Amino acid sequence: MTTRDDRPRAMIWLALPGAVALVALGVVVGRAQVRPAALNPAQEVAPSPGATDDRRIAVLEQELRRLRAEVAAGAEERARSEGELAGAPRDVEQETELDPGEQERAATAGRLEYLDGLSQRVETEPRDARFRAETEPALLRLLPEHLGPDVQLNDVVCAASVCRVTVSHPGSARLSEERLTNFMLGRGALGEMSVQLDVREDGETTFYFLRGDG
Amino acid sequence: MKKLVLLASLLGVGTVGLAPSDALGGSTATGAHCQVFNYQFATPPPFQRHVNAISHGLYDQNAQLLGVTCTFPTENTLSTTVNWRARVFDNSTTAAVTCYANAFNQDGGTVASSTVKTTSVSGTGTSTLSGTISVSPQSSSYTYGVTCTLPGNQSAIYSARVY
Repeated sequence: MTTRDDRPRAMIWLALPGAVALVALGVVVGRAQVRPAALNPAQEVAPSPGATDDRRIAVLEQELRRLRAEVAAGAEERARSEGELAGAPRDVEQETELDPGEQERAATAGRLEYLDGLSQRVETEPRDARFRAETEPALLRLLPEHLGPDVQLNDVVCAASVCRVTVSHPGSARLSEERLTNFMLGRGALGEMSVQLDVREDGETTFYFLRGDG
Repeated sequence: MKKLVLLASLLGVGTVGLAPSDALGGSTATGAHCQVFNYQFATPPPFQRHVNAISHGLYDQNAQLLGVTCTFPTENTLSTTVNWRARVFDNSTTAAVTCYANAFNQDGGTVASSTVKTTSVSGTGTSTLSGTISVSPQSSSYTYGVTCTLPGNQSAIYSARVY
């Protein structure tokens, strides 16, 4: 038989299991709702041993959706950058799109600049006495021999690695290619030198003989 | 995933790197494409002993040299240093095969010539002559040629290339 003093103690014994049950429910609900925002995928695809198959499938589906999204974003990015590349003019395409006359003028200007550079080299290079002694007589002999008696050698200068010879041919604007070929094939010791030709002036051709292939 | 992205990137870079548009340029002619020209105002008979070669038509070891030129279409992909080579057959014991390369402007005039290359010993059979030609700056209007003289006794040029 209970007395009036025993009532609060009985209430405590009744309320305690309820409170424990409430706390346990809160913990379960809280863990289910408050999931980490960025879980390691490895952890997700390898759930704890107690996880159910449904949860495992849900995690895998979520991972699959994320991968699909990444692949789609990558493809979009690739397509965008390819489009930008296709829109950007490439050097070669730009060159072919240039007006042919412009191309030719640019090439001619570049060529003259290169030949002027060779001429400057003849002026500024130190003289190689031995090279000069071997080469200048050969030039003076072989050029008239193959190019014909109607040409005149105006300037024969050899520096250390390059020689310059200016040939006048007042009877024709250009040297005959036939004679030029005969000279190139019959140039003997001069065949160890490559040749650059400056034909900017009618009636005059300047030869640059460079040691080796230049 | 990172490995997949890396692999895809490498594949992409490799594909772009080996795209045909970036392939090296060049042009080849078989000997049959080459032409005979008057060398020293005399032209011994050429002979097409093989369908892909041009040969000196005489069996005489001391015959007049045969001038042969192999010309190539414009190659605007070549660099300022143009390589050339010619596969030749030197069948003379008294004279050699000699070749050099030319760059021509759009009017057919020579703008640059390479050094001259000659087979080392006459009568040695098949060999390759090669060299370079400097063209600065390069121009899409330039054309190229390899010019050779062939001695007698069926000496020949099989092919020539610029690249």
